[in-house]
Amino acid sequence: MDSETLAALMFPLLFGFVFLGIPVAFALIATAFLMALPAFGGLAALQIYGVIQHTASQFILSAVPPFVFMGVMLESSGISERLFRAMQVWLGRLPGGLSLATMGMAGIIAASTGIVGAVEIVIGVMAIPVMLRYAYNRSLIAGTICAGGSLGTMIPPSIVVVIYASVANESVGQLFAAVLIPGLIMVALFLGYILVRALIFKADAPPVPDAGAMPLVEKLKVTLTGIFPAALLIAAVLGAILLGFATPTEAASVGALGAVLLTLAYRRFSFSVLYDTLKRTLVINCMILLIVAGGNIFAGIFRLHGGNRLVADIVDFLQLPDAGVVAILLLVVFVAGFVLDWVSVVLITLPIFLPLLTALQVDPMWFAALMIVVIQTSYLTPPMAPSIFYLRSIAPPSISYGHMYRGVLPFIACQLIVLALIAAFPSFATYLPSQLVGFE
Amino acid sequence: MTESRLQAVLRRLDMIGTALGHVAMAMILLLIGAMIYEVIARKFFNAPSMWAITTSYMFNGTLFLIGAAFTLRLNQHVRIDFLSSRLPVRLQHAVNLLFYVLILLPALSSTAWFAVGKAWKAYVRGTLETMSAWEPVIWPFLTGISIGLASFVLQILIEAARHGIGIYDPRSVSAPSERPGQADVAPDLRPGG
Repeated sequence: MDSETLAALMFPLLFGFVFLGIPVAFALIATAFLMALPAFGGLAALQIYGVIQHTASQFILSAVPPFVFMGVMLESSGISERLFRAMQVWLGRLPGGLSLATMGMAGIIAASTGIVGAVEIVIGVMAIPVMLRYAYNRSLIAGTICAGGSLGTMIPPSIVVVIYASVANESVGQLFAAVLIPGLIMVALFLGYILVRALIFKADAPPVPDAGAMPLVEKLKVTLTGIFPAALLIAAVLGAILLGFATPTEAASVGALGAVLLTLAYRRFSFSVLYDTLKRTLVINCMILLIVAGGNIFAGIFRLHGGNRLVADIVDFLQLPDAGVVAILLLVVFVAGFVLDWVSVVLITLPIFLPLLTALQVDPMWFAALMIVVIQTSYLTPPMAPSIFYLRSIAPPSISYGHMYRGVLPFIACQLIVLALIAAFPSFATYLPSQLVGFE
Repeated sequence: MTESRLQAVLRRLDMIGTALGHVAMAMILLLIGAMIYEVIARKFFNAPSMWAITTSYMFNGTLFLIGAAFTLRLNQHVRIDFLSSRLPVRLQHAVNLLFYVLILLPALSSTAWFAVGKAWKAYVRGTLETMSAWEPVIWPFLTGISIGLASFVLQILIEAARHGIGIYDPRSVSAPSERPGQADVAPDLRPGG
């Protein structure tokens, strides 16, 4: 078999293993190994070793453990309850107040933890019972939780972005800057949609009696202890990265310390909390980084067999306009996101896309913002939506799949608007990065 | 009777991966600590260290490999199992066993072999790490990678044996598509199932 046939065979083989239920990281390594054998024989494993050592030596990736630690620790700190309460104080009296408060809380939690899925579970466990108690429309509840959870992908600091930066060889700070404005627009659209819906369909979001009815001193106290510390932590971590004061790893480590201090201040800290945090951090980190290593190995062998040339030839053959190529690449990401976890999506698609994008002279920040929005939309889009599987695992039976599917659709529309805005006005993604002088 | 003895042996062997998992947890703290030290030294004392960036990637590169076995024991390497979970449990075990023994073990044990060789050569020659101005010897890092890969290979062997037991007696081990309780679950990557 010639080399390009081997490259072409890598994908069916990979997906065969994956659908047989083999862990994705192992499937990536095994496929690469099998396809390296004809070319390298006994030295095939040396190729694998080289990539593992290279991946293990990437400084960018050392930001993953502290970021994960920070998110997991904040989850145990009890900050989400305080945030929800504080948000209710300020947003509770507006139409759809509980839903707005939930979305506000989601935005802030997404900005303090980069872990996709964790955001959704945290806000869902807290907000679903409250919204049900006040007879909120169930599809509005489901949509709010799923869409709020999806913000973990988009709002920096996000682990998705760190991994993207490591694969694309971009600066983490610049990529955070690229998704910041689109992320804020998205939160605004989400909030706007909830508000408008609650204004038009009053029965969907009945008013909550006495929401926010407390003395001003009390209000300020709730805000000061609930929102202020989280906002400060986020501003410090993100600010340090964006302004180039610290590397992402350093900023995340300081953020991890901040999360510990906050947990101490809220009297939730104990050594068993620390142990569980470390254990979960380790497991998440190993799972992510082994896929990164496996993906790099896979991409390396694919490239060696001329796979990238093969893809370029196919794209040439199709004779698409540049915008069409970008659209097809994003479509591939969208579909891949139905079956694969996001780390695998980034690791499998991006190494193949990068040479094409370079050849087309596509702005890397622009494409990154588009791709990250698409990953997020894929997370939300039924029927194979991770967001809905998470929601199912925490929602009571009275919220049906029908509620969930109907509930997420308007939020998907909001995401598509953001996607269209970035596509039409690239400066939403490119302006902030161009204003930064990154640390690295 | 015999297989329960085998399972007892496997549980003993798990302790190696678990112990290394705890070393990896300690490394997370060391990594975070080193970075905080660096920030303080640079911002407040204007004395950036030469070693912080190098040690942080070395800690991270080592810890994700020496934690890989522990993560496998907890069955937390993400699987896409919306199809495979519908297969009979015995068949799931057989698929995993064959994959481990025929493909993954040859691939990773030879990788680990090369890793040990590289680490040994680096030790004998006293090779320096050249990516930073600090230039420490690189063999401790390469040794960490080797230990990680070797313990990972051992854990794959252990899990292969468990899948073998699973074909024979599916009730005595957990199915590949089964996962530990919520407390242990890392709720990020799962596409559900």
